[in-house]
Amino acid sequence: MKSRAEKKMRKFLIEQLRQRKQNGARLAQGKKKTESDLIESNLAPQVFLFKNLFSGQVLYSQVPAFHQDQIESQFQLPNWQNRKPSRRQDLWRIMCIANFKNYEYAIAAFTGLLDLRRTRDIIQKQQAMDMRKKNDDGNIWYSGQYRPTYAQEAIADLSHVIDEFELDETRLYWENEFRKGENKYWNLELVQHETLPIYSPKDQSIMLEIMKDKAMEAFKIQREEFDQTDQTDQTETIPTTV
Amino acid sequence: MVNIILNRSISSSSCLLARSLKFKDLSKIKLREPILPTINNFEVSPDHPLWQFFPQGSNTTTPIRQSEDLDLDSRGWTSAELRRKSFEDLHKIWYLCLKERNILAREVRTGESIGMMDFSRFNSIDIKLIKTQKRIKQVLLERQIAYERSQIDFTEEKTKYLQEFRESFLNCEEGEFEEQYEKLIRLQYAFFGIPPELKVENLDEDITINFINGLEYVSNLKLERYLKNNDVEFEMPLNGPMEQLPFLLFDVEEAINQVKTLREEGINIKLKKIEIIPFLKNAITKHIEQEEEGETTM
Repeated sequence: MKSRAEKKMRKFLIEQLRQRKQNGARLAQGKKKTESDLIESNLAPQVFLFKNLFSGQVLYSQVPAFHQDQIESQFQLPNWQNRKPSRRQDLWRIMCIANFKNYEYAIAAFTGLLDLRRTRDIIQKQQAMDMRKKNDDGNIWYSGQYRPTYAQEAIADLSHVIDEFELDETRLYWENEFRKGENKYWNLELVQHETLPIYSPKDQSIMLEIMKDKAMEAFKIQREEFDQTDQTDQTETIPTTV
Repeated sequence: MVNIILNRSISSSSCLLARSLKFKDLSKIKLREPILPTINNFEVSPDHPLWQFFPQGSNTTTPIRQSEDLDLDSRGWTSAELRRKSFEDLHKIWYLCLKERNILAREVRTGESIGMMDFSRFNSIDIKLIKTQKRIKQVLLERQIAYERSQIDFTEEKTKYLQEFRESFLNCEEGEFEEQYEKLIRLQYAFFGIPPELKVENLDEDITINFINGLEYVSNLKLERYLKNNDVEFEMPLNGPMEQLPFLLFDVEEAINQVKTLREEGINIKLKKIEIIPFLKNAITKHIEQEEEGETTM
């Protein structure tokens, strides 16, 4: 027979454990990252698109990892055709990494993608459904539980965001170039397409980390160049103002 | 300075002011059609391994072959045909069958996915291939059994036969001798692996313990026969392979002379076990080389 104190203690411990439980990467935990958050965590202006191997859904992330919080916020109105995906590490594979010119662009793209997801899932549900390929029963075409339309929509949204906000000097790194579709969908003045280095799926996190480091390096160089041009501007403008 | 800061802040933000970085009204967004993936974005190498699932590799034009293109009249390999083939050939046939079966299976799966109903033609070929594979297994099994049976110890029978041969060789008449001698040469090859013609390049494989035993048997046999029919003084027995070897390489008469000179010179040492094989190799290669030189000078 357990004493009252023991029972209380047990309850307290279970609560503690529940609080401590991590549903994904700590880095990706919480709300949307601001520019200062990204700089503080040494992250580059990037957006990561993960695809779900089981259902074909796509998860957007500002960091090279994902968390249950993101799944909760990006799949708001789940139904039998668009279920809330699990956060199993083995099911989410990187589909595309988008490198942007600066943090402002990266945050704008991420917000834009979330807005478009919300539009498709909730606000313009019917219009989005009309554009999807259907099977004979009139439901979204699927094989097993896999619905390819979600990945195709995510890519359409990515190109929409880039065109809408004119996010120039964007570099898209594709896991498989066949997903980007035909070139007519992309404004090639804004976007440059490249492929991700080939890594074993087991080492995906390592590859993402490497891509992040590379982006950081590129961003640093870009910023130094920008600062230099800025300084030369200043020296040119000083005599006129003094 | 204030002017500069003002200038800068305006210049850096002016490009952003021109356009908004946020969707204003979500209900008025015109959503884009899903972008379909296309295979035109990359090139597939013509020797990509997956092309092996297609009958003509990268030159294949149709996903599923028509019945005219299928080899419906052929038959599988029979066991009798397969028994004549070497292991390497069987190995090749097995994998050719497997590859063809994979192609057929791929075609059947593709057909299933597009709603084809009748696969009897594909299956009839597949059955032939399966039968061939089963027969290959059967033939290999037969070989394995034959090999295992051959591993049974025949030493008793061997010694008995050698004894019998020895008697018939020693006691045969002059007319039969040639026949018996040829039999001896065949016997030394079959029992002791001493080839009728020694070659330098094969010596490493040929000279074994069995070879040494054979040398002892053959040399003694030849010598005994000679001594029995001719009146020559010679001290028996032969002292190890050094004295035995001449009887294999030369005529008996010459061999006896060589052994005598060896004994006179006192070089006929009894070799240690470890020295025998190198000695034989050396001596035989020297002999072969001398013979070749002799032929060329002739």
